[in-house]
Amino acid sequence: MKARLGKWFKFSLEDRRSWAGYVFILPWILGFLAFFARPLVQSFLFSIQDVKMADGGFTASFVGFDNYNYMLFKDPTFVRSLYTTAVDVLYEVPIITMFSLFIAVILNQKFRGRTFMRAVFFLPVIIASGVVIVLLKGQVFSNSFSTASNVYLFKMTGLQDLLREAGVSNGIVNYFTSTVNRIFSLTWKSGVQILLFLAGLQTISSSLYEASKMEGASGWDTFWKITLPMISPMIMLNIVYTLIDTFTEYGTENTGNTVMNAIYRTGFIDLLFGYSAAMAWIYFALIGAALALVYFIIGRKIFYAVD
Amino acid sequence: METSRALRSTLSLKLRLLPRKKLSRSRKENAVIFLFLAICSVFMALPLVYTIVTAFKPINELFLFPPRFFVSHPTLDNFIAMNQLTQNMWVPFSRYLFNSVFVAGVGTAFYIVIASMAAFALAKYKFPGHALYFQIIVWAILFRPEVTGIPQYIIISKLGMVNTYFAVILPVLAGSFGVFLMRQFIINAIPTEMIEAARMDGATEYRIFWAVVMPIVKPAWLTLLIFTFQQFWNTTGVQYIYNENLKMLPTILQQISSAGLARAGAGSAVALVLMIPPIVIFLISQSSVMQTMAHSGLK
Repeated sequence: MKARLGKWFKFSLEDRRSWAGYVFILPWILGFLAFFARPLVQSFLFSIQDVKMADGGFTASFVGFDNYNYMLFKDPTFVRSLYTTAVDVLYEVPIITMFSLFIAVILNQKFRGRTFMRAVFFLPVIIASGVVIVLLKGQVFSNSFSTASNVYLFKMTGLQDLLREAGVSNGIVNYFTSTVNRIFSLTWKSGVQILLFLAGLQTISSSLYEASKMEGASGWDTFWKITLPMISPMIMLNIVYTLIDTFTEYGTENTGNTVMNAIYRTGFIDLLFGYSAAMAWIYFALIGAALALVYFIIGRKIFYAVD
Repeated sequence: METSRALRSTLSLKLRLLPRKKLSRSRKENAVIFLFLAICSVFMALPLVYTIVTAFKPINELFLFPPRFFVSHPTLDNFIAMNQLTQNMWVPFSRYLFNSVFVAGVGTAFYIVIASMAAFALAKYKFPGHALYFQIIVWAILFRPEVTGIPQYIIISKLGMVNTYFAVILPVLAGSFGVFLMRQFIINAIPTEMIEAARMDGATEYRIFWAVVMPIVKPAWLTLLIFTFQQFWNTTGVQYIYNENLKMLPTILQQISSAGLARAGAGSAVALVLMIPPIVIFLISQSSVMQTMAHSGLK
């Protein structure tokens, strides 16, 4: 009896460690199962059902893959908006990742006003999320009563007026603003990434840099041989974040991502829960494929400082 | 003894001085970089400036067409209007404020601990299935609230948590981005030898986490703190909370802005007030990030 108990309750050092690992991860797993995994399964079930609102709840009847069929072959807009979104993401992700790494490396240098500069580059994240941005887009910046170009108006009126007030001619202002629009959307989407890179840069041990300087490495060498490998898990993190962020960008009716708007509208306004869930699942299958591609291409190049 | 110490200190002084000289850039290069930063930062800051400016615009300037950027006669009318609007509300302003601060504070603290622990386990423990868990986490980031929103509501109402703070806090704790973020940091910032050394010194796993891992990855969890606080701070809670007494601060903004253009000024005054806490949190955490790196064992 004692021996058997011992077999059960005495663990090797290895076992104890893996138990410690489980204990550390347990709280998160519990929350994950209850508030993520279960709803996710439920949403898949919705997608193969016809869900209707009824008194005091909803009724659902099994329809197989009808929702998916309709979406891919009959819905006039869905497939097209999938395509445009994918193209947008394809060219935005590399630019945003490289831009934010560049800015982060600069902001990691020592210069006066560094904290202030960091704050400035992080501002968009603070402003551009939540109700504040909805308010800005919807109320303050729709003074011109044109709702179609709310965001561009939001971004540009300020600057245009600023330049006109400074006496710059109209042609130059227009040319300038169209160029600037692109920089705008770029910088505005890079706040989180810059911060993540910055934090990553700061965890690189300075002894590595000191050693390489002693060996006479130039700043250029140091970047490619030390900074880049050491920060490569962050690059992965940022690519994944940017990919998902651009794919699932929130927006108002006319801005942001058309697919996300369609999913939201179908589910929360038209109350077609089943169809909305099916749309979401197809969309996330697409994002999943993109992620898998990213892993396949750059996953192996990531340097992990562990065995 | 004395001489060797002196020798060592001069040596380390040299070590410190030497690279800095080598790496210092020319003034011209610095100027170019700074100019580039300055241009980018103008783009970044402009909307904030616009919000601030708008909050001080008198009513006749708010309705100018085309809208003007700068305010010519700044006024505090909008803030006075905001104050009046919030005083006439059924639930006092302080109650909304308390709800927001409570939810953001408690939620952020819990999420940082939960996510960091899970990330530590994923990064440094080889328990059965640890690779699978990591895969699950990465894929889970994919799914935004649109997908799980409705089923999540059903679960929360079954658990009887509608109209409680739990309804707002718990779903966020299940988020996987924070775990992914922390894991990516811990995996390279903390050498496995360091953990082994702590074990040799008799530290328990629990103690290793709190006394070795967390101090070193302080920049990481301070960053996560900013994100998580931001997420909670923007929560209105309207999906799960119908009791007006338990709603969060952004509901005020919604209420005021739902009145349309007439309250654009008061709206941007509220927006301005709402933006202050995240900015303060950002500044505090960023400045302590610098301090940590100066003192941590790795530097």
